[in-house]
Amino acid sequence: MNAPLVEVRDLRYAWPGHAACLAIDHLVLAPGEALFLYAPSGCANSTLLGLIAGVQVASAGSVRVLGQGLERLSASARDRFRVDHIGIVFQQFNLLPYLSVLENVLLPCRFSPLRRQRALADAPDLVQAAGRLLATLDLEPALWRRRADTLSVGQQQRVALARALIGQPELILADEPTSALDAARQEAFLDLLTAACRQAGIGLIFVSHDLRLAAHSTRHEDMSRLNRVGWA
Amino acid sequence: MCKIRSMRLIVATGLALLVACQPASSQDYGLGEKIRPAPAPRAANPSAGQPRNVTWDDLLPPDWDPLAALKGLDLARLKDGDPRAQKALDDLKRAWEHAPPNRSLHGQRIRIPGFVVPLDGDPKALREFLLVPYFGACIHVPPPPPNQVIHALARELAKAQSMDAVWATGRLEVVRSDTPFGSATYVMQVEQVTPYREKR
Amino acid sequence: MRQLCWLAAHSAWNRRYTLGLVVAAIALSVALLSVIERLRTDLRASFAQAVSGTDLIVGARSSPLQLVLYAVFRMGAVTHEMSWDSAQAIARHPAVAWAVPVTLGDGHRGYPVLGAPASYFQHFRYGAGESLRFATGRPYRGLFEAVLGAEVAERLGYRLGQRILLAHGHDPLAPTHADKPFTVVGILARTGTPVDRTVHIGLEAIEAIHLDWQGGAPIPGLAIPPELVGKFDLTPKSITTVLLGLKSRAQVFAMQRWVETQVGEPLMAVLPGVVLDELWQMLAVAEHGLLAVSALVAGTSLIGLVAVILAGLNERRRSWPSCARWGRGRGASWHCWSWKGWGWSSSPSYSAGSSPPWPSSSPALGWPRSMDLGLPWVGRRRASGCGSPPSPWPACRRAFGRRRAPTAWP
Repeated sequence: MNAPLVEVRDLRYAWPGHAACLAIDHLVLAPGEALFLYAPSGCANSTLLGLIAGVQVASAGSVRVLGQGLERLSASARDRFRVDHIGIVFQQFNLLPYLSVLENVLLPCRFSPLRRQRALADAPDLVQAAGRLLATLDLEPALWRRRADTLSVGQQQRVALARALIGQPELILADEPTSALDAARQEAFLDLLTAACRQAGIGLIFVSHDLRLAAHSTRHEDMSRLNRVGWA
Repeated sequence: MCKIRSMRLIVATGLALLVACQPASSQDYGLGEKIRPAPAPRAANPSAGQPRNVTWDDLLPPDWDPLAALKGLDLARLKDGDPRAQKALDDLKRAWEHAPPNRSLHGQRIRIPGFVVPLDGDPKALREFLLVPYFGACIHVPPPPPNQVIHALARELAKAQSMDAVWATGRLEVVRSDTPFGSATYVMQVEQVTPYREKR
Repeated sequence: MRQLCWLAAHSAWNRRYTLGLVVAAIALSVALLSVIERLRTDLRASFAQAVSGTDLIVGARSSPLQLVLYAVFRMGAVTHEMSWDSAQAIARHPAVAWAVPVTLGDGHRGYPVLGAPASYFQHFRYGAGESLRFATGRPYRGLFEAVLGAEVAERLGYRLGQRILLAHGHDPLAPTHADKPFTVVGILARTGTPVDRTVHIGLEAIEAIHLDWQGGAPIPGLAIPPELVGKFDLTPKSITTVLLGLKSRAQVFAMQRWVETQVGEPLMAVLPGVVLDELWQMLAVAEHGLLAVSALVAGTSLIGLVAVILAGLNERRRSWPSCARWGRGRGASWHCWSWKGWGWSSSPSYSAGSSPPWPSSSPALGWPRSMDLGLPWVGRRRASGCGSPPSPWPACRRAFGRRRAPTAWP
């Protein structure tokens, strides 16, 4: 049996000066698995993703990603770990508006030699690696050199997805990735996301308050049940 | 509330800095006032030995008596307007104006406090100056006699302005000068000039 | 680090117009500050080095400062002149090594004319005891010969042999001594003192050009041609000042006292160094006030820069989580921002920073409202590395502020 990609055990987290907001006994994600976390607002789902990404450190308990306990790493080590192994898709895409589409997509390769190496394994150079990814996400070459903020909302979200996928990280975290998109595009985007992850064997945790999106993954969890703090 | 307090603090600091930048030291002395006693500073060049601390009275020759003109004259017994009294006073003044130097100090390395009268250079790079025993020696006050003025030549440019109180350390020389104002004067090759700080 | 620099450069270029304005503002304010500081120190130094080796400046009793400013700097005027006889008596005194009588009053196209014997060029010193040197020519020997300062010759384009007319007074519109032109026989080397902007002629020449003048104007009907002036007695009756050098500088006080009490005319003898020091002490308060103003101007520009940075943060908030994602949540972010600020600060204008790709969001350190970012997990920023003075301030707010819980989602 493979070691789990993500393993959360007895996790407790409280913001300084506040009561505990997160208490999760056990959560496991296997490599290549897609997990849909249904999270109505106020369930600290973003906090959980932050803990898994290593942005915060748990107050108690452990978060292990790829077998590495994140609480043991220093802050800069966690940063490096994150850029090497985790891709993130935000609700508001958060592209750098003053960079072109290609430059945005290749940003992780600038900061992670590992991702860069992996990207170059399949393509002669980085631009071609990014180009291939963008092509699979239906972004035509004419757009690649344009400034990221000149694209439409749907296109920007797909660029964000390409940025998360480049260099094949082991895990992708998506926080409400479709909230900014209209209904027609939401389905298409999630199809792209799950297909890309499945194809590359990348683990996926995506969080949404929209139950209709649960159909895109085989595994569902309800944050209000997972997080013991919300229990009465 | 916090903002008002911090604003006040900033303004107060600014004003304090402005005030602190004012030239100091010369304001404490009155016209004609002699330099007050203070501890001597450490020498700049300890390997050359400690310079001798000297006062202005040491610059007067030990065998010189400025009141010699009045000796043997009993003022109480003279009549009013007696020319001898006036002559004695004139002799006294002349003696004072021709006061000889103390030659035993020639060639000695001394340290002496005094007030600065600049001659050449600006306050940050003073090359030549006079050292006098009392404040305001050039303003409406009778000038000091020749053996109470030191002509200082600064080897390293000194930082001092008019009427600053300083310690001057260096080699004192008695130099001949044939003028009606005295047969010899003090000249000092100054190696160090430090501000004069009184012990309060 | 290279990647951070690249990112910082792109971000800065994206905001180039705003930044350009701020850079210009800071550059101007820093220039103002340095100009004032430079003026302050240079002015003081140039005043102090205008005369050297002159022990006493003697003139009619008035204000010591007025006499020094007029005699040395040709600024202002004196109310009375002193008599030639007194000058002679002073020059004859055994304690005097040299004495140079000087008259001022006339002008030439706005430049002052100084009348002095040829010994002036030998005894007058400036700076650190440097003598006057001739760039070309020689001191005057004849009556209607003139020696020019370097700036006069340069500005007016005069050369040796040039004939010039002097005016009665410094006003460019003053009546000229048109019938008695002077020939330029010497041009002095540049000194950086008021000597450069002076026209020098002999004392007798001053008398000669005023022979047929009375009370500041030519006597109508009387015109004495230049070739006949020699028939008259050209000894000056009064002069402006006498510059004295003593045999022993320590006797300057005694000589000062002698001049003020024994000569018979109300005179005063001033030590130029002391008078100039007093001038600077008087001006010290104004000096410091001026410095304070320029410091405030510089501070205002820097505050403007900080304001621009903070305003820019708001626009950057969406890109921040991306930064966090690539491992730039901590020291790297600080480095990136500081680097941009540092890069700008290093420029001659000392202007600081472009805005970093930071989200601004609220006072919450690193915890922008979740709905703004989608993921409020930017985390702590640890301050590591240094940056330029202005740019770290907003970073400090974030780096050292406390974490706060995200607000509830809508």
